[in-house]
Amino acid sequence: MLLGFRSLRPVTLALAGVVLSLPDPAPTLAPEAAQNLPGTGLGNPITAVLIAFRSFDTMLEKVVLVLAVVGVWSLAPDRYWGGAPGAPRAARPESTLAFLAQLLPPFGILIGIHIFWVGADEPGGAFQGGAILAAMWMITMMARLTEAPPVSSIWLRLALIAGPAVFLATGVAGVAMASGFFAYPAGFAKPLILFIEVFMTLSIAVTLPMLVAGPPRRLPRR
Amino acid sequence: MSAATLAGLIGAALVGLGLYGLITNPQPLRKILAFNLIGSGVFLLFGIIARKGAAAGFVADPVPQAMVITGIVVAFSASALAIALVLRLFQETGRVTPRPDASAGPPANGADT
Repeated sequence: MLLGFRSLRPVTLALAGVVLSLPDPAPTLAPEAAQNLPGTGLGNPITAVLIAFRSFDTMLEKVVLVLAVVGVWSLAPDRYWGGAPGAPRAARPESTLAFLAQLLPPFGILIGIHIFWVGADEPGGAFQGGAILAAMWMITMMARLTEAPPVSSIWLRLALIAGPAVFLATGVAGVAMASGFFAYPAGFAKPLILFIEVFMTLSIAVTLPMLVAGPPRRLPRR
Repeated sequence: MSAATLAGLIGAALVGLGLYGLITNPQPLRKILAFNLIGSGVFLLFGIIARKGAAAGFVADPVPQAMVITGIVVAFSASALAIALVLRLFQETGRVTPRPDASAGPPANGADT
């Protein structure tokens, strides 16, 4: 116990010291981002950093999500492989949760798509919109109104890899169509970025519920 | 003290608390929670550093902000994978907390519970 207290104190104090002694003016990449923002056609600098300036980083981060799903699925016992995650659907869904799960998704799906769409110019983006869509799917699964699809489903797998796959394909196409790997052609950057973000949103909305649903726990349908 | 500085100090405290939980709690689930606490502190610190970098008409430096977004998603997926591992361990062995008096190597009688 005492050891733990002693070990955390210098770490906290050092971080607190860093916070109190941050240089003023702080080093910042904001001017560079502002300077290059018109080239992307976007109004939201964060989306520009994610999908344009640091696009390779964001693409690999989507690959990490797919790897996490692979890791969770790989924990399944052999006999359940190809089956669906989660317990079988109860005969009667729990009424309060079911009510919430019927009330929220119509609004949540609209809000999720809206937040993805305005992310080009306003706060928002693929991650935030995708997370809201994921929450809507999760709540219907938790209320047992829907069931998780079997992990052998080709549509599920396509949806999981659509984001990084489209992102990577667009990045490779940049070698031929633009100035290099993950470069976008001048004047056509915004449509391409939104095209990538559509699939990113889809993949995030599918990946997060699959991570929560866990490994397959039911026998596959033969 | 500005609100940003206070939030930064809270971030530092969260990292310290999370580190304490990570070191002292033997239960894997508590360790996962403590690790997320460290992550939350780091994200808060990143947010404060981003805000300090406000320039060129932006309220904050967009680069650390974008990195926090990807960081949150990665932290979530890592936690989900860790919890799936703990659940599988529980299904296999019926316990997830390591015995404090366990010696190195497998138990002599082969029993694991």
